[in-house]
Amino acid sequence: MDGRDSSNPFSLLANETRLGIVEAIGDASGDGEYACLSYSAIQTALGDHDAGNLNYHLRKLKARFVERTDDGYRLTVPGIRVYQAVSSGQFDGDRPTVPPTELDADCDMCDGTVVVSYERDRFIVRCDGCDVLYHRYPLSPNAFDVDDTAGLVTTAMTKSHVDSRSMLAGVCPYCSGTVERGLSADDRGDTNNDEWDVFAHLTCERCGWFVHPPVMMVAFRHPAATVFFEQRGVENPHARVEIPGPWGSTVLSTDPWRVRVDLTYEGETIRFLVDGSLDVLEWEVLEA
Amino acid sequence: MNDEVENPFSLLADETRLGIVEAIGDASGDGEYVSLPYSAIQAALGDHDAGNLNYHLRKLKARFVERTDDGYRLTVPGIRVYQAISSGQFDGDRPTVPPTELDADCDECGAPLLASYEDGRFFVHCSDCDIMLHRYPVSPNSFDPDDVEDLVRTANTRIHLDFSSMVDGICPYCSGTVDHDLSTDDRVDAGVEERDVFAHLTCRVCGWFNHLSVEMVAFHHPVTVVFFERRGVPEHYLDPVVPGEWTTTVPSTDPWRVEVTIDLDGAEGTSPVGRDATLGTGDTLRLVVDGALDVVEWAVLE
Repeated sequence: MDGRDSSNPFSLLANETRLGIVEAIGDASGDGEYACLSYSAIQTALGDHDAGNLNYHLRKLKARFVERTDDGYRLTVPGIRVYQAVSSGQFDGDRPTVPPTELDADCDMCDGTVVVSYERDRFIVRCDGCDVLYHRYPLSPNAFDVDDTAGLVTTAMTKSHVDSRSMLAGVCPYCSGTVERGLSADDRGDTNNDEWDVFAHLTCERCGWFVHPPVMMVAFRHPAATVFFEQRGVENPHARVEIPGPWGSTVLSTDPWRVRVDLTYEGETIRFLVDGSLDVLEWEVLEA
Repeated sequence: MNDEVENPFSLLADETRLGIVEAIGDASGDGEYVSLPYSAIQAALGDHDAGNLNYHLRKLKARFVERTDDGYRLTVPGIRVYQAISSGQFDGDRPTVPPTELDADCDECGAPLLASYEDGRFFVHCSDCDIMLHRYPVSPNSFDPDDVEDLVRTANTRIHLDFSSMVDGICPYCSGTVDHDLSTDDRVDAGVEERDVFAHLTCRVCGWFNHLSVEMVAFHHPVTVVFFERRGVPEHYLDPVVPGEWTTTVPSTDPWRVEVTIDLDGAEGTSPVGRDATLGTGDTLRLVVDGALDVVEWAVLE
């Protein structure tokens, strides 16, 4: 005994044969199916010298990361998650970066230009004039092509949208843990923007994943806003770096929290009422 | 100089290295991912695990751990590894939920529907005619096994969000690019002959996939969410059985055009959340899905 809990999944996987088994079964899975590998196929994939005590290691992984079927061994859901996560650390050479690149968009706050970059695994959108930070979002380094800035923007913005939808629905997009939801007027983050004065706090109780978007994003990510913009000719509104058209938020009450958010496009407005749990209590497209 | 990329599985297959990932992940809390100083990592590992700590930190660096002014923190792949391995943390045996009757009946035969959780998968099927409405992999520690409603809510939320992400072209798990396709060949094993056009969505990077009846593209689309919400059925995708008459026709296969019609005909809930006169007020929503699984057209019909 090494003193650590034998059911600790980190200790369980900290072995070349065991992670090798996860890798071999994951690599064999292809389009539309998760493979079952026979004992001998796993043995071959590991190479003979790694396969010592294969039975012992399969038994250790069983029920937690690998399961037995009639055809051999396949990954459990946590096993698939581990395969996916470790694979995200696979890239050639140094960690990819994208230097600040101008976008075809002007800053809301000044006449500066909006620039996009990817540094230290974060997708960043900021104004090169007044330094407002529009977006900063962690994105796996192998999720995009470093030579395609437009592709990076679409991937990062779409990922940020679907992750935020999941957090707002109360489910962590990464570990499926329960998400705590709240509003706060204290935390401006480091957006350098005084006009954004109420922020949503969403934090996974299990793995700690979090997002702190300004409150108008809660409205913007609601399906009614998606339909509102698409109906008016804005395709994929969430793949853009800016909310299309002007918006405004008003705190009607802080106990209980009631925040009104208006999103306007070409003279028409959709209005949302958001509460302290980040639920949209009402929404309405205002009569013109 | 050896430029060969070290296999990330081999890189992590070591107790000290996964211990470092665990220690930094465990120390991260509400609203921040911490940087742990060298000495704190050493303490977390216990003295006998900390041999050659510098060597192991150097191996992990840039890929799973990075150096900051305050110490070491997880990179995004490091965070993903921490999250994934944590999903394999549960007490005792893998949880199961035996088939439990839901407050909903089968569309086809009227018998009660059953929900269960076995082999890491969430199931909803008919107690009599064997129609399978759902089979979806869900992490074993994401719900309370003593609370079937929590299971149904968590699993249906996951299905809705994962599928929406796949349709948007991004793998919900590894962020890889997703390929879209339609086919009439694959009936999967839903046990239903009528659903004869299937959407295939597959991640190019990790192989995660969904094979669903094409009407599910319409089912999960934002306009359908809004259509139901305006009729007093918020988050319709959480319900085991969705109100209304659903019809799917295939006007063309080259190019693909699949038309899905949802007719509520008076069936509605009590207090609508949203109002939008510009959507129209009819009982019927029609969506047209193309071969890339885009909804190319929709309309609320009077």
